[in-house]
Amino acid sequence: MFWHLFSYRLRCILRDKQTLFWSAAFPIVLAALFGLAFSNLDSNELFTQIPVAVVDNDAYRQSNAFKSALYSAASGKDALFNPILCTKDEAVALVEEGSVAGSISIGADGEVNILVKETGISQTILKAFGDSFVQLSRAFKTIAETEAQAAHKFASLLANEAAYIKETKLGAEYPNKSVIYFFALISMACLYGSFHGVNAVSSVQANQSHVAARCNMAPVHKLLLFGAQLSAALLVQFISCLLLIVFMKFVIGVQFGPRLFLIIFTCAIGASMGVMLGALVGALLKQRLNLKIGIIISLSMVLTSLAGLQYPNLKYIIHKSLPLLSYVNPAALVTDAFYALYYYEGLERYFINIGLLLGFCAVFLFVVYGVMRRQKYASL
Amino acid sequence: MVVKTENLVKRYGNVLALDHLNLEVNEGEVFGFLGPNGSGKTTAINCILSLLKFDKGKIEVFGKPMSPDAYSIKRDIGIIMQDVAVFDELTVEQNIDYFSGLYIREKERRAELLEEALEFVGLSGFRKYYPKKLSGGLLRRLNIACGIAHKPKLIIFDEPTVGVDPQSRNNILEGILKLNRQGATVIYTSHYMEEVEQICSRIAILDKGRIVASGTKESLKAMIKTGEKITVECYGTCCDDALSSVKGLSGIISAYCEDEILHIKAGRSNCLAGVLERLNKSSIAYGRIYCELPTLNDVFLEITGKHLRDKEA
Repeated sequence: MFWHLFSYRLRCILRDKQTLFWSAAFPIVLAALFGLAFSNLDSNELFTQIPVAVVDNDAYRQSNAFKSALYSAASGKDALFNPILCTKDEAVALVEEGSVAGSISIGADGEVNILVKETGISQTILKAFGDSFVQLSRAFKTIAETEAQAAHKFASLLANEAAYIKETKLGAEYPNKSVIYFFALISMACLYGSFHGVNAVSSVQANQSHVAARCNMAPVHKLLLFGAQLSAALLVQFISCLLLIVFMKFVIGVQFGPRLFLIIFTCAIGASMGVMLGALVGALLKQRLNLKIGIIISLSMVLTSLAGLQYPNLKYIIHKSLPLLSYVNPAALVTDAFYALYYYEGLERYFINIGLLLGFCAVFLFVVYGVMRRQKYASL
Repeated sequence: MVVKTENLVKRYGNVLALDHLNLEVNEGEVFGFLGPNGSGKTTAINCILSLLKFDKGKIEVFGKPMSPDAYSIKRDIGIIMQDVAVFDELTVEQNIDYFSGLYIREKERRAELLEEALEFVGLSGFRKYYPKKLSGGLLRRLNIACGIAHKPKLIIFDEPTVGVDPQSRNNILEGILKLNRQGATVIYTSHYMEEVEQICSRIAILDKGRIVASGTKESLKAMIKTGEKITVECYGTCCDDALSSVKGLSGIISAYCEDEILHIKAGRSNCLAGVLERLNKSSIAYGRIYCELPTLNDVFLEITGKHLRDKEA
C-alpha cells in the first residue's frame, strides 16, 4: 500500500510543473545569475604584480645591491613588482599614461627616487620598497665603515632573511565572500521544499480539496497516506537540492570543501527541514492552500534574507547581536552548516547546526502528527 | 439495512443543517435523496461517510456504527462526488488504478478492475489521456470510474450530473441502473426531480435538513391532493365568470389564468370533461389542452410551499 501511494505521489509531484519549477528550477536559475554577478567579486581582493618603470641609468647599472633587491622583489610566485627597464623620459611617460604604478630610479648619490602620479596601495608598496632599500643600504654602509667583519655578518643575515611569522589557516579553505550567497541560496532551495510539504498535508485534508476528501473516504489510515506523501516530497526535494549543489560546483565552480558525505547529509537535513516546515504551516493553518503558499513564500524570503541571501553581513550582524535569532532561523542554520563545513576543520559548529535542524524537523513532525491524527472537519 | 441514521443533527454555527434526520436505506435499492440546493443532502452524505463530525445522532452502515477509522465498512463504499475529484497529473487509467489501489492491494486484481471500470464508463479509448484533455462529460465518467472501480456494495452518487450535457446525463443514469442490477445499493442525491423519478425505487425529500416525505414515487404523489394538472390554451382572456365556473367544479383544487393560459389543479377524479363543458358554456374558445400527472416538484411544492429548483420558483 505504501509503495502504491508513494509511487503515485511521486508521479504527481514530478508532473506538477509549477511547484517543481519553484522548488528545483528556480534556485538553479538564481544560482546561475549569482554566478554571473559574483564572478568578479573576489578579484578586487586578489594581489597582482605592480608594474614599475625602472630607470636604466649608470647609477642603476653600478648598484648591484639595488639590482639584487629588485630581482628579489620581482621574482618567485609571490613577486611584488613587474619591472620595466627604460630611460628616464620613457619612465615619466609611462607614469603619465598610467601604464605603471610609478617609476623608481637610483641617483648618483645612491638615493632612491620614486615618481608617482597618484596615491594608492601600489604606490605605497613601491615607496615602502624604496625606503626599506635606503634604510638597509645605509645601515650596511655604516656598519662597513666601523667594522668590516660585522658588515660581512650583516650581509649574510640579509641573504638568509628568516621568516618568524608562519601562515596558519583557520579552516580547510581560503576565505571567499561569494560562497555565503550560494550557501544562503541553498538554504532558500531547502525552504522551498515547504511547497511540497504543504501540498503533502493538503492532499490528505478533506477540507482542502475534492481529491483529499475522496482519499479520506477510502479505507486507508490517514497517517499512512500522509507518510507516503511526505516521503515522496522529501525524496524530490532532496534530489532538487543535490542538483542545485551539483550545478553550483560543476557549472559555476562554487567550492564546498572536500567533505562530500557531510555535504550530501546537510542537503538531506536541509531538504527535510523545508518539507517539514511546509507540513507544519499546512497542518496549523485552516485557510485555503493558496494562502498557505503565500505565507510560505513570505516566510522563506524573510528567513533567507536573515541568513544572508541579499546581504551576507546581515548573517554576522544577527549572529553577533541577536544570536538566538540565528539559532531559531532554519535558513541561517543550513547556511551556517555549509559555511562551517567549508571553512572550519573542526566539526563542532557544523554539528550544532545539524543538531538544531534535526531538532526542528522532529518538533515540526511531532506537531503535524498531533494535529493530523485527531483532525475532524466541522465543514468541507 | 445498508444505511441507517437516527436523529442526526448537524449545525454550522447557528445554522441547523441536519434536523434530527432519520434515514433508512435498504439493500439493493436505488435510494433517491431529493431536495433543493442547501437542503442538507451533501451534509448528510458527508456525515454518513464520517467526513464531517456531527452534533448528535447515530449512523450505522452495513449494520455497524460508522466512524472515520471503520475501514472494513469503508472498503465496501464507493463515492462519486458532485465535483470531479481526480488528479490532473495522472492519466485516466492511472487515476482509476490509484483510487482502486486505496481499496485493493493485489496488482493483478486491480488491473482486471481497471479494465472493467474503463469498459463500464466507456473510457477505454481515453486511457492514456490526462483529465485536462477530457471533455466535461468524459471527466464525469472518469469521476464515476474512480468511485466504482473497486466494486463497492454501496455507491453514493452526490449530484453527479450537475453541469453535464443531456447525452452524458443519460449515460450516467443508465450506468447507475446497471450498477444496481449488478447488486450495488445506490444512494442518489439530486435536485433534479426527473432524474430521481427515473431511476430511484424509493425517495426521501429533504428540506432544511429534515425529511419532509419519503416513499416510492407513487406513494409520494399519492400523499398530495393534486391528482392531475390541466392546462388549456384559450383564445383570448379567460373571463372571471368562466374561471369562477371552473373553480366551482367538484374536484378542482385551484385554477388561474395567466397569459391566456388556464392552469388547473385537480384532485383524483377526472375533471377534464367538466372543465371543457364549463368553458364551452362560457363561450371561451380554446386550442390545445394538456393533462399531466403530478411531479415530485408538485409534491415538494405542496408540502413545503416552494419549488425544488430555483429557476422554477
